[in-house]
Amino acid sequence: MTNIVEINRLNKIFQNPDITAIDNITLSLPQGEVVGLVGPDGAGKTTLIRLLLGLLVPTSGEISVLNLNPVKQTHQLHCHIGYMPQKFGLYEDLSIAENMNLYADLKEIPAAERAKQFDWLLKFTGLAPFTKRLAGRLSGGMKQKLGLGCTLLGNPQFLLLDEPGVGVDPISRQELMKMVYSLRDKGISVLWSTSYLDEAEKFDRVLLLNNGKLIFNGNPKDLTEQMQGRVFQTAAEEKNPRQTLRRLMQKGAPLTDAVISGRQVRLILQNNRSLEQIDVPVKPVTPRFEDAVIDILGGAEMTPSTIARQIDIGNLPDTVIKAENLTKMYGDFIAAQNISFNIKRGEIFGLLGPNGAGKSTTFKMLCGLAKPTSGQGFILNTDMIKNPEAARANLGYMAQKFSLFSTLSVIQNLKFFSGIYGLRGTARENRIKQMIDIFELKPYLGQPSGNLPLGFKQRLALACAIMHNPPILFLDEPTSGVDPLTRREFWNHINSMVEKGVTVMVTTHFMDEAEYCDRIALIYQGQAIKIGTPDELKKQGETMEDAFIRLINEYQPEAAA
Amino acid sequence: MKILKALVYKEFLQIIRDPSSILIAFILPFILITIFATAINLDNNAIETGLVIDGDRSQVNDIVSAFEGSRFLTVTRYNSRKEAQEALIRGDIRAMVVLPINFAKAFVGEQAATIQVLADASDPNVALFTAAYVQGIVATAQKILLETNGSNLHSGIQIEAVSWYNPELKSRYFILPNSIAIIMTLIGMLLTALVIAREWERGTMESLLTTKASKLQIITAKYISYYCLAMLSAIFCTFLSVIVFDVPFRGSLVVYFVTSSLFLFVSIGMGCMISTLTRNQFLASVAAAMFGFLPAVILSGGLFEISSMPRIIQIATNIIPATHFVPIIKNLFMAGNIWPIIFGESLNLLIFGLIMFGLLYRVTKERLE
Repeated sequence: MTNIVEINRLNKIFQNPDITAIDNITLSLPQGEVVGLVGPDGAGKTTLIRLLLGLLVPTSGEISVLNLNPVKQTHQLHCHIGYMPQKFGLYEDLSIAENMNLYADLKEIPAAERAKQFDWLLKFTGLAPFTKRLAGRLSGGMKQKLGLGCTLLGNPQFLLLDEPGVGVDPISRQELMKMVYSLRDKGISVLWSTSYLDEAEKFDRVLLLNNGKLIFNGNPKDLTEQMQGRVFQTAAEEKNPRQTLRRLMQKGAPLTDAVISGRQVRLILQNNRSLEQIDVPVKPVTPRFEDAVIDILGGAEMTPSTIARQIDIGNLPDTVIKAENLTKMYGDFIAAQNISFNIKRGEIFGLLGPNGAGKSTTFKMLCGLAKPTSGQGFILNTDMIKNPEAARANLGYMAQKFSLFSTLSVIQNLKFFSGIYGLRGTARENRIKQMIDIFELKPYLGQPSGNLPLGFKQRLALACAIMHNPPILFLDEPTSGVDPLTRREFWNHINSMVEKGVTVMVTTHFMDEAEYCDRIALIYQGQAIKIGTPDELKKQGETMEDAFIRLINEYQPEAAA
Repeated sequence: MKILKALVYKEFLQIIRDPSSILIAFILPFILITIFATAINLDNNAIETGLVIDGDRSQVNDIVSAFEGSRFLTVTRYNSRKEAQEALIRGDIRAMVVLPINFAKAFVGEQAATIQVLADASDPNVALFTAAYVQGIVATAQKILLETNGSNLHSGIQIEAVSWYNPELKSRYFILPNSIAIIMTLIGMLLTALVIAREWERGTMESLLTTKASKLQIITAKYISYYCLAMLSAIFCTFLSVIVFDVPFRGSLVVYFVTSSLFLFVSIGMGCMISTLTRNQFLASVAAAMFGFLPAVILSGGLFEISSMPRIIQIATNIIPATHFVPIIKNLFMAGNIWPIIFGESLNLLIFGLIMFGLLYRVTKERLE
């Protein structure tokens, strides 16, 4: 069998600012596999795909794709490959049929063959009933299928898909994966880039990138297999899993990773160490790909966060956040419908759902950024609608993608945020000093916050959000696109704050992140379809994603009735 | 060819379905033309003017009634200079005219006299216009006097001004054609500046680059479709000016079409260039306004006379494409086909357009870097 891709000592260095996007990668990919290109944002996934397509020129090294040189034989190569860029590369003002016709024309598919291909593709993607609908009016999942359909025009031998699953609901993601596997059975090779580690387990082969380096190339099962016998879970349900986790960290147990999973703690033992120092009863569990990735990356930081040392939030009522039938309409579009829940003091409450499901709308209504069409929201018994400012004084808000002023330095950001939270004089000076100590920001004070390493950006964003010592923290997609180690560091901080009584509401579209929450509301098509603890939602042996898909399927007949 | 056709068809569909392109191509020009035609009026009709007569009032009745009858001035009489000056300071009047004590004698040519015009020059036009109107009124009154009394009277200086092309001196006649040039710059540049940037922002450019479409085809498709849209917009503006606002058109429509096409070739090229370099719709629209619209308004000679600018600025105006189109369109509307201007400036536009296309071809990359 021939290889579809041969890469030899490939380097790609961008200038201004100097970034080594691809660092000395050598690999070859055999034909007929679904290959996952896995890694956090900025690992080099998109750069590698663009190099394979000839859209970027390597700084050094050799590439050959389908035995062609992507730089010198670009046009020849493009005749045999299909490429779906991020955001799917569709024209939103054009209908499904018009998009397909355009791409068929641009790929010079003869009229005779076109009808046959369209027929098959529309059937394959299930889009046949909607051909007249504008691409801009399609759901994320349908856009993704149309994107794939346009990519498949002209019968390519090799498909390159750049993050096709981002923000799309899990059902659509599952369907896409099935479609891709049926293509593989027809002999098409696929390269699928993703930042979801849980997605990676399903691929024939995984290329794991981190900081431009290829750290693993092979069957994900082989990598996961190596973790056999090292992954454990606490045997009984813990009353307070966060305390157990903290205790394990404080005692310096020989672990490379420990995370909350519902009411349990999941542990990875360091290589060749015994369970002797683990003072809670544990049972072995099946390793996951993510466990293996954490292990290759050198393990997570295993010391408890110090950030909560100086937090004192005083006395609070039992129920700190109340949402009562919150509904938000945009025209006749229902963004959120009758969403109700209570959040107790010291709880981590997650809003889980795909992009566009209504999590952000719910979130915005509760922090006073959007006015509900009907319903009420209370923060510490203050009406969010009548008195948003008083209610907001109790909130720390961390927006998506760490909304800092990226051209301001770290210290300028801290000063600005302390100012807008109304801190003055020595109180302000002290608080800033405290934040610098807690988050260890000292070495970076003068640097523009845009240039910080991701982990420090996250710390700074968190520091700015808790400047006014709020008893409630709202986190909007806090770890989207973040590598698993930085994500653990972040949750370590959050856990330590929660132990001090801080209440956290968090949105996420990472199904596995829901495991860190005490309770979750599953948001789907504007409604909270299920609220409960992660263990209540999952049936025996299910992952969170399985559970979500099952709950959506169970829910839909009800909605139709 | 098939690919080009598909790309152009796609552009048309996008234009039709995107309300903002219709807004920029038809609603915006409609508003601009209406504003230029009605609100911006450099004629300054009916300046409030105070009249002070130093000498014997009965001797100057004729001339006073001539002043009062003028449609260019609204005259209020004051008994003294002081009174009139106070009114001027208060802003009741914008200019004052003082007829000197010997005016009656000067009027019939027996003595020399000077009429004083005092104007509020915070609007410099007022002073100039008032002086000119006063001169006109006096001259006309003198002429009438001469005709009625026979030619035995020795008259003072006679001024005769003849206005070519725009005998009624309506500013609308020269403002509207020039504003069409400005609008064509705006449409050609702003619309096209947005479209390539939009393809980059939405990730569709990346898809296009992996199909068989070449960069020449991608660029040409943009030119063709936005040329058609901008041309429709230009026809619409011309129709508005000529039919609705009564501006005369004296040249050849064919020449107008050809030269406009040349000018659009340049504008669209500049728009594409901005779009390709910025790859960002926000930056592109700001750049289109800064480098396209403002120079076209200020430096093209459309609204402000180039010959009254400092020498160095005059030279600089040559690099603005609109500077070369304004003389053509101005002449086509008001004077007719002035061939030397048409040929000379068309050649300039063609050179501009070709350079722009060449540069665009060079900066457009089939790769992402």
